[in-house]
Amino acid sequence: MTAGGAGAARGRLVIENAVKAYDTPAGPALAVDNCSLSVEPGEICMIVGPSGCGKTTLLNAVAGFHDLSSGRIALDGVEIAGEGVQAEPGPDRVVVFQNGALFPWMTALDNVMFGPLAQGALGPAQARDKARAMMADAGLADAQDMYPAQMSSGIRRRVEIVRAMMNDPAILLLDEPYRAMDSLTRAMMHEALLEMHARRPVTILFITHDLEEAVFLGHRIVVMSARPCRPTLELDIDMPFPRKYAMTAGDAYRGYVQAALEAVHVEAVKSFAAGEKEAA
Amino acid sequence: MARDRNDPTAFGLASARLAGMLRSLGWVAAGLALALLFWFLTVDVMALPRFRNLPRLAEVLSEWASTQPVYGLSIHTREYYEHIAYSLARVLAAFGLATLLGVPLGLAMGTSRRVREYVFPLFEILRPIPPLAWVPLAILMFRGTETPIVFLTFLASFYATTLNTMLGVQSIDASLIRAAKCLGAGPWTMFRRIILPGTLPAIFGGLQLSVGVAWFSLVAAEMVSGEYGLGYIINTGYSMATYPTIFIGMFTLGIVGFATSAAIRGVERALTQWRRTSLGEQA
Repeated sequence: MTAGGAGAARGRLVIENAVKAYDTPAGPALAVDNCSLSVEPGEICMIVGPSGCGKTTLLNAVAGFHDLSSGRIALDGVEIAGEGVQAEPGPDRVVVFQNGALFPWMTALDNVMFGPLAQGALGPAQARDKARAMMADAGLADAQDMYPAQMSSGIRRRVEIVRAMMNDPAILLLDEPYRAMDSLTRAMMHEALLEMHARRPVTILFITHDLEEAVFLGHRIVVMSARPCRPTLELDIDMPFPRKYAMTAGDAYRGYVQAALEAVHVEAVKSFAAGEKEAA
Repeated sequence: MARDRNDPTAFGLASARLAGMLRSLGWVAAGLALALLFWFLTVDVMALPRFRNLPRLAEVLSEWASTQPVYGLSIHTREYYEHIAYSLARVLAAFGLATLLGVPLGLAMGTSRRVREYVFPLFEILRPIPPLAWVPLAILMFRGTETPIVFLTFLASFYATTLNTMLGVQSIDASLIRAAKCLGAGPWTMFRRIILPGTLPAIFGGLQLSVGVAWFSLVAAEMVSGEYGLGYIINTGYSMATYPTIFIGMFTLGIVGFATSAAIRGVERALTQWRRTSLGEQA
């Protein structure tokens, strides 16, 4: 494992036999089935799989938005989901959402300060200083006083990641955060995320269906099966950090993308066939 | 971001905004002129059958501005302003009461399922009953002339404010709620920094409606009881056959009503600056 920069002692995520079923009029439907996965401190773990395969359900269970039907999830040895554990979100595992969730009525700075103030972890002056410093480190000093409606989508997403990092989380949960962006903006987002990770090697669980994104960012890619969601292939991406966009032209990179593509394709075909069967 | 006073674009933006305002004022004036022209043509010039009994434009305007009005009411009489003051005070009392009760109730109904289940069915049964249907009850229940009028004016206002506030709470993006929970917000922080500001645009949408329907119901209430007010003027103008006074009452009502909703829009703009995206609109 190439993961885990120096000093990243926190952020070990262990998922054991996680099952999540939903009640539907047609009976219980499995979204996640018998899923086991562990992520090392400081690792960037990319979860890929066909659309609607239940990846987000798994991530939401880690986030504490809902319970598991069975199985357990532990973060740094503390059980956060499982039997007898009440699912509850917390600032040790912050989610960055698919469509963005900056509070539109707060400036960037107020958004970034929100976590420590809400938790009562810092006073207003300390929170402001820390937020200013973190935004400056991320190259976002100019955006401090802007409202989200005044920012570009790229700036918004970067501010949201700074807002998450303000809480010193053990793990960052990213749910297709760059999905709606053009490829140029997305490339900048990728480099900014990796720069941030180099400064502060937090564990990252990153959901995407973009394989190039997965290979470029990840220490490891976990390919999920079509519904119910379960890991079918794990792929270590043995490419050095810091990664630069020039690498995407190299053979190693193309090879990984091809391997991931084949694994996902098999699942996509299965999921398509299942859909056809349901429709028939 | 702070804009430099010497920044040439600041001047450009200000003058562009001024030009825009003048242009829209021009349209407003043109619209009004057209309506008045329609009146002049139908009553004075063509004397169409349905319009023949109406007062002429010139007659109404000269009565309105006269120092010695034929029917006793113009901008130079003290009574004119007393009528306005009575109506305005009643609307403000009813609107204020509706806001003070409706916003908290709407927030409670939006955030708590329990409260919604208790209140909403009753609310929805009462809501379609028009203020006029409440007149007998209002007169039986309340003493004097003012309280029944304020009560009748309050009703529709209260429904509009409460319902919009509740729907506003429910329309807040679920990811914002989740994001706040992730960041460690407790119930009070959630309410004060997420629910309340997130509902503000809907609350103000409700207040706009609310003040409008307050004027509607006020006039109905003043026609039924009372000795002052714009609704009273209109009603007595009809029974005394002083037709220009009816028009004076109607126009004044329109102007004062417009002023109240413009004031609410002004407050809204000041409180929801974050909704404006372009630099030109940023105050």
